[in-house]
Amino acid sequence: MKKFTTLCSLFALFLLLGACKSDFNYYYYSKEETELLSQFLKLPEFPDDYTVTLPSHLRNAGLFARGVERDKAVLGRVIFYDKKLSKDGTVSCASCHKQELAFSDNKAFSDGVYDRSTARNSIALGSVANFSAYYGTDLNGSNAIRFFWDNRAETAADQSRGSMTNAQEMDMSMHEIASTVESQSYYGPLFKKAFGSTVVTEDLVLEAVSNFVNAMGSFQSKFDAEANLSQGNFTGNFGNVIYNNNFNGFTAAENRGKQLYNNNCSSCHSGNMGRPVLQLANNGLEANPIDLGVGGISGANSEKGAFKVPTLRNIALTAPYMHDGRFNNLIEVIDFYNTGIQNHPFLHADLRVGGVPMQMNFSADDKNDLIAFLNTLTDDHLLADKKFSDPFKQ
Amino acid sequence: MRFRADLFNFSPMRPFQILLLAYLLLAAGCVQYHYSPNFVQTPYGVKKGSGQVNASVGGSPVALNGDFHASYSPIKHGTVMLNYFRTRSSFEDTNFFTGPTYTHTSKGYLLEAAAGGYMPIAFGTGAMYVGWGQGKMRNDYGIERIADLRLQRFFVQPTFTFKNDWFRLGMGLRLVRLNFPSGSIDYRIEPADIEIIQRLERESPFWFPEFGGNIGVHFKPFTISASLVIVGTKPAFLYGFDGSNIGLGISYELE
Ligand code: HEC
Ligand code: HEC
Repeated sequence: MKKFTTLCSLFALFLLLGACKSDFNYYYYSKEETELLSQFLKLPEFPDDYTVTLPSHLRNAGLFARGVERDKAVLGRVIFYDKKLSKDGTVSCASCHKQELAFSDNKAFSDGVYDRSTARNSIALGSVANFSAYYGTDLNGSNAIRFFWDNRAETAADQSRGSMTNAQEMDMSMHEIASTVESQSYYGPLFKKAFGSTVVTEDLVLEAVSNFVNAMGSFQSKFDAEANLSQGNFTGNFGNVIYNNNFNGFTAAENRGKQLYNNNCSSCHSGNMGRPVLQLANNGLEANPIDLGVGGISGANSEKGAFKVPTLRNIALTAPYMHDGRFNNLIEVIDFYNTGIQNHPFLHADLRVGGVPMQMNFSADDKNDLIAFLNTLTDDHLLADKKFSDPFKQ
Repeated sequence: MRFRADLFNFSPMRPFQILLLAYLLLAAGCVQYHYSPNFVQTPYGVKKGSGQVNASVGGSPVALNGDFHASYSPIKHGTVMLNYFRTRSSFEDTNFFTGPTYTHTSKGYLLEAAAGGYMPIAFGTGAMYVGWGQGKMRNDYGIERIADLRLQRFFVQPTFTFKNDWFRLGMGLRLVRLNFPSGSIDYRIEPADIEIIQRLERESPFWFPEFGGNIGVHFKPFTISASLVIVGTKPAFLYGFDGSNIGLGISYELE
């Protein structure tokens, strides 16, 4: 029995001495992978979280973001910034979609490979609350918002294929894209993480970019913060009620601007800055447009001269404006809506009064108020978010 | 509250308890696990020089287990034992739309030694063991996403055994202190699964009871027995502990 007690005490001692704290080591890249990747890229040790959580005012309005696969988004980020994926090695997606400009370009027409120019103005990817919440027929069904000014791409993958193979943009074949990706050593580990194998196919490249694009969103502006607060204890879809009330944190000018916006613009661009109300509209830029927009693709007469209705998030940063970048600043845009709407036969009814284009009759103060309001749509968070930034060294 | 009380007293069938048992057995379904209980061994020796070796196969709804056990009494009233345990499982992660995607596997082992004393109690033998062991669990979550956790287990185990010429009955309560001293975890593992691992890291060491027993038929010098162990502890979906192990084994007894 004495032995037994000694044994017991020994075990008790062991217990006390034996370290209690667990020490787990989490890793994402192996040592070799880290070495390889760090020659070319500065990626965080652990992948960023690309989960999108929309603010409550948008969720209550029925919008919700679809899942994004983190490992694919990480790969998509590198592809998005990789100039090697263009014919002359000078252009990446980011050349025309610059983060500091809410992923738009500050030129009416962007520079593509061999100094070619795009046919239209680059669209600010940061102008949407979140792509996966309402863009893409794959995620959101046939009512989904489509991609491009003329809505010609149904999904983010279609859109990326379009940009990569467009002769004015990156001018590659998808086959060339896949083999270039395959030939760059740093894609090995990233592909392995994203897809479990290093076999590169065109579809997988597109899937990765889609995940990155679908993770993009802009919903942390002053407008969103105030909209969340103004819901009070309401939950559920209150339509435009909460957006029509004055926001406590807005200046008087911002609130007046919001009212002008709600009365004159929200029927197309939406009052909650979520999904645009219309997928396309003719806003009367030209009586006889040369660029037929949606109608140029669909052939429908009523759609000739109609374009995607963009949402206006980060609009203060994304000049020049409209599909052809014809307006250099917001004053010009507002002057256009004020007095310049052209009498196209299919001008949208909301911009027509008694058979003629509407005159909005904004005073100088009104214009300033409207601009003050549009400035509240800027999301500095998106502009600075490292997980959307250029991962390449230098 | 009244509804609950009614349920308890409803009938001799006690559906609540049946549900509870079913839960314990099934709780680990399709969850990868970081701990799986070996059988609670109850040596039958009652004199100096007696001993036994045993091999069993067992399992739970998720795992397939192997138990190997040897014990020996070098002195009167004293027994030492050595247990080796292996566990493994695998399942397909089935996506409702696209069918099976990844094969998930768990496998691991535990090696432990214990010493104890015994004496006659009532119509059988009472014993008390103290043991310590360590092992490892490797979980592969598909596409080579692996979590390796080392585990250490300390236990105090009172048991009661009864035997006659042809029959064996053993029961034991194993009071466990389970510790996960270190681990190596691929961060690609799904966040929900990582959460379980982080919970283990945060809350380790764990103290919990396990209840086990075996019943056997003896044909000198062999015993064929059925064993059962149930972990009275944390829900599998939060901690990844397999809840049970049931199986059959054969022992060779040394008189
Ligand atoms: C040379 C400049 C250029 C490059 C390179 C480029 N884009 Fe674009 N992007 C544009 C232009 C211009 C448009 C609008 C074109 C149109 O609508 O016809 C556009 C539109 C888009 C849209 C549509 C947004 C919407 O709201 O409909 C997305 C998404 C997009 N680009 C993503 C990408 C991705 C991803 C890449 C890289 C694979 C890329 N772009 C490469 C200039 C470019
Ligand atoms: C009938 C629907 C409609 C109404 C009402 C409307 N817009 Fe537009 N808006 C559009 C369409 C369609 C476009 C894109 C036209 C194009 O580029 O060809 C657009 C483009 C814009 C753009 C440029 C976006 C960019 O990224 O280049 C701004 C800014 C804008 N509108 C502001 C306003 C303001 C401010 C009002 C109210 C005073 C308003 N809109 C009213 C349909 C509308």
